[in-house]
Amino acid sequence: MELYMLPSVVTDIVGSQLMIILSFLSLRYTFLLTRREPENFLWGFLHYFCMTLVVFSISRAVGHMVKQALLISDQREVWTMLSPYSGGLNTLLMISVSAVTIYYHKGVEGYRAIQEKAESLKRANSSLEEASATMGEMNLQLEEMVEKRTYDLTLSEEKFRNFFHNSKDMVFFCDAEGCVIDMNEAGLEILDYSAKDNSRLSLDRLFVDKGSLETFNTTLRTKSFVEDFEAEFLREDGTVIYVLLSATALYDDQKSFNGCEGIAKDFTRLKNMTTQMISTEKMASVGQMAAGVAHEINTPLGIILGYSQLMKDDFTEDSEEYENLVVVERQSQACRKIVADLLKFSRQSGSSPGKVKINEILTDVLAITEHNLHLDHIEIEQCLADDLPVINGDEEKLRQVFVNLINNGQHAMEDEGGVLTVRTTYSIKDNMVTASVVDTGTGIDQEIITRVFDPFFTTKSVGKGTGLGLSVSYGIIEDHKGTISIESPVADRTGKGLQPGTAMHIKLPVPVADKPEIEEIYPDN
Amino acid sequence: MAALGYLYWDTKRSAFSGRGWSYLRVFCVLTILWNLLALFGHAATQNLLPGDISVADGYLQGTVNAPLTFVKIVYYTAKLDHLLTVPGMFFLFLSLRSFYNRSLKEGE
Repeated sequence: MELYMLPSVVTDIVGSQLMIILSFLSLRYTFLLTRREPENFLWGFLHYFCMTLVVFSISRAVGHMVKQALLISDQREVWTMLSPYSGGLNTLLMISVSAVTIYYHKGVEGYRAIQEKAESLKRANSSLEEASATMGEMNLQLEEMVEKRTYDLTLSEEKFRNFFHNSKDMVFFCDAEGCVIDMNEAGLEILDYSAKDNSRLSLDRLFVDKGSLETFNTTLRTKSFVEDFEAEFLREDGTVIYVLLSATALYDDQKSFNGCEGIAKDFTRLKNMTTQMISTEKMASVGQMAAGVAHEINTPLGIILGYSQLMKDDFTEDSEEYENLVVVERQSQACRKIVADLLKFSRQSGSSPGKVKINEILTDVLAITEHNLHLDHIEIEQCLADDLPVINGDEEKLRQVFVNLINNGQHAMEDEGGVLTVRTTYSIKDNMVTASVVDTGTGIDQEIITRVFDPFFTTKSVGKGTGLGLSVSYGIIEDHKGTISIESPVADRTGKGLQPGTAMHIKLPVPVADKPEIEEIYPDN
Repeated sequence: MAALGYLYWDTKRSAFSGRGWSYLRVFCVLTILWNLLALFGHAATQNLLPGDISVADGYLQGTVNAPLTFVKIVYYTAKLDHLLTVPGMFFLFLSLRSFYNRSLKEGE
């Protein structure tokens, strides 16, 4: 069996042409790929690979076609001559293809390294994007939180600022040395300090009693707080107020004492009222006791006095017994006067109420006492309000009250003299008449000021006073539904400072029917 | 052959995925086979005897005379090498077209 060469010749010719076509088509795609992605090494490699392949295909295909053409045209000798060159060229081109392929080996390594780097960068970039997104989300949440916190903080700050500014009590902040850093307007007003000039404020300056300040500081540092601490604060004008103080210690980051924040409530009025109530209760109980004692003593005293007067008739006037009975009678009468005073104090004595003009009573009393006052070098100053309304009362008893007060003033100034001021005013607001007797004497010690209305309490030497004058006066004024109060030391004429002396203020109510119609006729003191 | 073999091995090893790389590997295999065939074909041509091929009736009517030996069969098969190279080139063409189409899709 023999094999015909024709199929191989046809295959050779057609195959060569197809090779050229396919290599060019391949080259076209590599060209397009390199244009699309010029940075891609693989496309570059395949492009060069195809280029060499195209050249190789053309060379080989042309060689084969020439060969077939020469052999068909029976020119074998020519082909025999050309064939080594064609084969050599094909071999060279095939080597080029191989070289390009080998070049792929190195190139692809670099490309892979770059790809890995790129992938790594891409991953890093992706991670970075994710992190950025997360960060963005967190940032958004943080911003929302900050916004909400800021809003809450603003509300809280506003709430506490309002509390600080609107509080009617004293709210303050102190540093570790006790200097007041900040104080609300109410506090400054209570202490009579202006908002601009409060730099001197400190606890040391405010506390009247330094021992009390020491106790406050010790308690604050040991317990970290002070609760309902009663203290006396000195105002700018020198007067004293009573405060109920609560404070909390402040600490810095190192837990060391940094100062305090506190609230103080002015309870001067409350304290005065309490003191007054205690005094009233005490006076009421003392009055009851005095009335009981006076009643019990009054009867035996009357009998002693009666018998002593009867017995006087049994003896001659120059006898010793008669003299003794006179002494008994005199002392019994003195005792009866004391008993009568006690009854007046306890309001057990009779009363004859009527329309009373205070100015007239004072003028009468001053007329009687003027001589004695002048003997003690005491000047009298009268500041009597015009058209003072009349009040309802017992003129005699009120006269006794003013005599007592003027006598006390005289006693206070008898050594060095002074000025006795008698003043009357009317307050349309309270509908009260105020009569004040002010002396420039020695004044009353704070320790005994609450006891001066106690029966038998006196600072006078033995024999000069019974200690019932102010007690009786207190009882009479109470009986008139009025009040009697003491001020010592007294405010000076400017009203800002204090001067030694005592002021007794008596306030008596004006009956509604006698209330003046024109308001503010009299300035309110 | 070594270069094409390396190309085949590396593209497979590198896990270059996609149809394009598969076509490229087919191209490599077919081209390697063609190279082998060409090698043996040239060797067989060198070993042919003067009476093994007859062109007395013209080149197009030429025959490989009987009896058919291994050398003659290898020679004749090697003459049909375009049956390997043309499909090989066709797969290269398919491979590159696939790469290009994929690149277009990725670009979109």
